[in-house]
Amino acid sequence: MCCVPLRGIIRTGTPMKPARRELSNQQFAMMLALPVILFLVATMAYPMGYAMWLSTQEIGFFGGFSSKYIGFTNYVNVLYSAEFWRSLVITIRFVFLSVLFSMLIGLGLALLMHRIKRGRAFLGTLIILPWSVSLYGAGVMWQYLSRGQSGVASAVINRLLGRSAEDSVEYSLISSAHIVDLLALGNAWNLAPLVAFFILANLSTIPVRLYDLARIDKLSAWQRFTCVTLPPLQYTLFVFTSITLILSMKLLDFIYVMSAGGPGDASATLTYRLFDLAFRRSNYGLSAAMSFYLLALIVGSTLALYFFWGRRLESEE
Amino acid sequence: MNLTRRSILMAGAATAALLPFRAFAQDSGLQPTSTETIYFRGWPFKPEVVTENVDRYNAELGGHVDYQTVTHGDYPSLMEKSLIAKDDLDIIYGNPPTAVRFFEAGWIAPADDVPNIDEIKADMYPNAMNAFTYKDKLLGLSYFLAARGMMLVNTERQGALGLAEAQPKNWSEFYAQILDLHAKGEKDLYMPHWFNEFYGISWAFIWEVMNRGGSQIDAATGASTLTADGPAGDALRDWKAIYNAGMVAEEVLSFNEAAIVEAFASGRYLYSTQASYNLTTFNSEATSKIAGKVSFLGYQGSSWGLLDSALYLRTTRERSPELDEDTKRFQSWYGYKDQDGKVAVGQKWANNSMLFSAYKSVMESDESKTAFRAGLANDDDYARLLEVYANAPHPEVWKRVWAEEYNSILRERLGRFLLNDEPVETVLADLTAAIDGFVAKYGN
Repeated sequence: MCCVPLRGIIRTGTPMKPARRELSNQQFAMMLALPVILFLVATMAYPMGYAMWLSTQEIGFFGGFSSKYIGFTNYVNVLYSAEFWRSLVITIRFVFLSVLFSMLIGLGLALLMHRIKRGRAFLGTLIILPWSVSLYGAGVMWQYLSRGQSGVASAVINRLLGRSAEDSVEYSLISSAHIVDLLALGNAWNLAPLVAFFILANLSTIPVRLYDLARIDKLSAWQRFTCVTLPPLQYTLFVFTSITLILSMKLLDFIYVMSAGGPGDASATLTYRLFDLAFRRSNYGLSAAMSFYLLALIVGSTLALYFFWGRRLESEE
Repeated sequence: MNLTRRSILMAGAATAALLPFRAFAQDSGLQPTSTETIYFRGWPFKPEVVTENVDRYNAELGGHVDYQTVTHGDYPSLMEKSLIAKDDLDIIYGNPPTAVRFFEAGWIAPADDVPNIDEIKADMYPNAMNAFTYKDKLLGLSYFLAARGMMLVNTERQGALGLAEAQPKNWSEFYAQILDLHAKGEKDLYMPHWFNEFYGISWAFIWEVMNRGGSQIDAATGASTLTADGPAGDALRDWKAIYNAGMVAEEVLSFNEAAIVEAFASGRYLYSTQASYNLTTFNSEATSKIAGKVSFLGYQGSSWGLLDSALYLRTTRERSPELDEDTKRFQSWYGYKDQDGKVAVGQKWANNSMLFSAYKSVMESDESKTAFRAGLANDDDYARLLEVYANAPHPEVWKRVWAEEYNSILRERLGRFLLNDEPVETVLADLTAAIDGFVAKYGN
């Protein structure tokens, strides 16, 4: 008996309408994502639209609320603002270091957890703790640790360098030269555990026999890492590079609490600058216009990441 | 319970004894007329004390006051956004420049119509009245006053350095002295008020310019009076001199107030500019390593710091007439006298935190004198403290609607000036341009 049903014939023997064309992978993905996209549009449309409107207005609250249409003046003013360019450079440095530290620390922690057999659950609990701390709490803690005169971390460094209060120069982790690096490290401290657990999940899918074969081929530890471990992790690394990049670009609370954009404005990232302009100086139009440059930076850098890395991964699949 | 002639007589006597108190409470005109909630918000300074006060009002007068705190570091801007968003706010804290801004925006109502206003005004010192008044309106009732920017001295180090008889009379002498000591190899001479909060480095600049006889703006025209060859230029040149000499750590520019208090309380520094109420912290063994050894530079013809103050402000949010009346009554109860005729809240702040009051009845009470003396290193300091306080000026720029925006610019610009070793002329030109922009935007 033939077990292959004839195309277009149902069991009753009546002719069936021709089957619809199968959805492509992209169409199927779009279909799955549609509810989320609709939700996002529904929740984002008003604030985005309002921000766009604000960016073309001069807003006043004194003598009653007032708004005056000024076209693209705010966008032009942003480009003429030295503060914007200074904050852009700070943001790029902060994001680059945050992503680098998050991925390196996350990968290192994942490899450590993967290798350790006994006490892995305990180690995992310890590692996830920083991720569970609020960014506000993390900011307070890092600030306290880093202060030159009372901070534990600075005190340890001074001790290691053989410096004491009697010396003419004491080392403080909070300085205009290094505050951005320190903020990036603190941000990575918060993000890396999440990265680590996803990489760990990915590591556990790599067949053990690949490592056996590598041993037979007498691959060194470094070669095993680059030829066996790393290739299957690439997609996870790409996804988390994108995620940490976006999260770092829009980070405010940790920076606000830990350094408040200081010393001076040495750690005033674009998000901090937006906050300052809108909430302290009441310059809503300029702040809204600047926020769209930040949005362009986020979208642009994510697309660039996809163009140079994600697309290659897709073609390799 | 059996009713006997004796028990009825005793109950009657007890009721008769309580009647005057009850009658006073009813007649004090401060008890609420409705059961609607009054929303009371402020920065988190000793919230447990505020909660105690609010609980007392609710318990004794049947009030319905809901109290919560708002983050301090950016209080004026956060509160401004709450007001823009029309949050439920009835009574809020505010400093005078914040009050002026909120008043101009129509978000707060003057306190000229609260119960007992004539008595309140009669009891208020002229300097407080001036700080709290704008366009002939009393913007709110007194929370506290203080001299901020007093030059505190660690007398132990002062004695060790042989400086007890060489006390600087003004800012120029002060900087000359510490630069000289630094040149001789002394360390940790000064912890300045350059922290990164809305009342940190920006206020330090404002008071130094005033203490040297200058101002930020011309009172009549609102134009900038900041010039490189005037008090502002002198102040910045002195700042630059001590910063470039390595006498102030860079990280101070990212401190909050608690950090500079902690630093001076460690006993490490010779001088520090602080608020007067912190004297009680520095002279207490529980919070300081130099307890009983902290004094200050007295008034010798030149003022130190400025008149720091805060008010209880009443918002203009839409309320029922009953709730509006209740809010006024609570503002009067909390900001002046309670139903027993005592300035209970103000007196409590004086007693437990060394906060000065706008009211003579608090400042001149024996309780206050005892409390203030307890926070000082020696008895002589009491009269000297009041002299420094009496001479602390109120900045003219705080009577402008744009004062808070200017403050934000000052805060960042001054930090950058120090970090990048910028020319004084450039900074003052930038500040003048900012003031010109504000005058163009808001008018004089």
